[in-house]
Amino acid sequence: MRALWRAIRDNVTRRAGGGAAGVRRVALLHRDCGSCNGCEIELRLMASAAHDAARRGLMFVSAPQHADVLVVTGPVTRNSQPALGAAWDAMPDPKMVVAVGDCAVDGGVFRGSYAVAGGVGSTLLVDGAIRGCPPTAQQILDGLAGLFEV
Amino acid sequence: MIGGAGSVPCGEGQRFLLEAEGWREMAASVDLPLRAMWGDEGTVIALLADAAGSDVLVSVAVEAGFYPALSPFRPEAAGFERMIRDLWGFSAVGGIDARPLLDFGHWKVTQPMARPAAPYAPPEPPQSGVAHKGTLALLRGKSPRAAARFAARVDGAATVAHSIAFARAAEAASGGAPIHARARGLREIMATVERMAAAVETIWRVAEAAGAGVLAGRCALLRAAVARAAGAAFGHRLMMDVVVPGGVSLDIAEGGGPALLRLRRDWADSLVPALAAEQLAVRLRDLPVVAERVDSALDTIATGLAALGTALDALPEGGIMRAIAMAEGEGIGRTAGPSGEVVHWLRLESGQIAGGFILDPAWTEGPACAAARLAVAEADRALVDAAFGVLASGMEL
Ligand code: SF4
Repeated sequence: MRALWRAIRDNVTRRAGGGAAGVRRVALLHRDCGSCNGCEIELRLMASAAHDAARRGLMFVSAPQHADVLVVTGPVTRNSQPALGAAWDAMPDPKMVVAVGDCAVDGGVFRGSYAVAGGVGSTLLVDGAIRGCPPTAQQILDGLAGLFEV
Repeated sequence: MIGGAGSVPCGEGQRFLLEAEGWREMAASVDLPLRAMWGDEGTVIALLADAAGSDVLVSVAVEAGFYPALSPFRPEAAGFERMIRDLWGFSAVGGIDARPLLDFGHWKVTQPMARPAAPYAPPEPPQSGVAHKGTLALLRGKSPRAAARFAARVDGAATVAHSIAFARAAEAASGGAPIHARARGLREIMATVERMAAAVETIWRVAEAAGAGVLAGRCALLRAAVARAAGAAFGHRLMMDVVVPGGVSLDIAEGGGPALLRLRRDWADSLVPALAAEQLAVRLRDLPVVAERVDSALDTIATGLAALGTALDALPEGGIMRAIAMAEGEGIGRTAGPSGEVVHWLRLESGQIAGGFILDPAWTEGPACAAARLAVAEADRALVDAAFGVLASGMEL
């Protein structure tokens, strides 16, 4: 997995136009697969002035074509599975997927419902998992940043 | 007319059992606003409000899977009729919209709330329903205490409100003694904090959409401060799972009161000057729907801060939890949530949930937002969306 992160990082550094020190940005694409919104509240805080994820190299993008890492929240509902797969397929290699929150990790309290496929693992091969219902903004930030600060 | 029908008790009130004829007549002639419709075993239930705003609960028997539609007389019934078709499999005869709302063939069953669930049918392309988690089916067969965690996860921004409405429905259905005064006081404090948090988020979203960066940044800091204070006081930044049927599961932490009161200083220091500096009101002058919502959010924060001090001072001593009776019966619970009234209905059999429905304000906020979007220029639509902040999960359950 470390190799994959390094590949993402090198790729990103190249895209940013050279190997200047400190240029280490990871572009995150967020997909909500049926979340209760609790994880989104913490994720928004993480991305905001309150936690300043950008200073640690994390930034959100809105197009899969520009993303290095897919960040998924919510139990993966059966209705959301096709869109999740499509987002992943549209991301260029190298790429990773991280489950944020108990729901995304294994379905959380919704596990076993007819409408829920389970965690992100039901649909994609997961590279990282951040537990909590919801995890706090700080836990998400540390979890994500920790994954690529190899 | 309604008074002439048979009825079953629902909490302190009752649910009137109508014949198909009376049901149709009610829709056509009785001028009471329709709040919600849902299914239960062999029946469809409608919640109306009378002139005083009190509940009027009526139901009609479903025959061979069919019941008379209300949507030809009440267009607002259409969404509920579509949901009832998808979840319970009851078809509204003469309904104005037969498209699916939640079921697009991705589940392994159809009509998951029907007993027994019908076998799988081939898919249709999804347009909505992505947030449908099967919450109503997850409630069934559980005690109210065990099911409370699902009510707490309908909308993370209204978890306290949903937990209160759910707890009140369970308390009304089981017909027990009222909860302790301290539990009531603690619920009110949490509800106030939650409404303030949501109000900050509203201003934050609008500020972002309006390009008011300084204000957006200050809102983020203030939202983080509310989360921290809530966490210090109630052990969870969103106060999830603290309100439970029978009371509250834990008392306010030592130092929790002062942590909440410190928000007064954060508010005065951070948001008031930023608001003035950004002159958001000027930018929103031509968008009254957005301006009104920002004003009301500001109001919510100001009154919330004042109410917190009073509520903390007046918090009675005493117990926080009372056991819920293993009863039979139905009940309604409601409360003012951050974006409107939240209503839960529960039917208990031997102390377990046999039927339930959750009415989130998204049912009315969604269409209101859609209508408001159409009334403004394309470039302003993001601001309208920001001001409403409608969450699909609340409606799609
Ligand atoms: S993990 Fe918890 S907070 Fe996050 S989406 Fe699931 S229920 Fe909501």
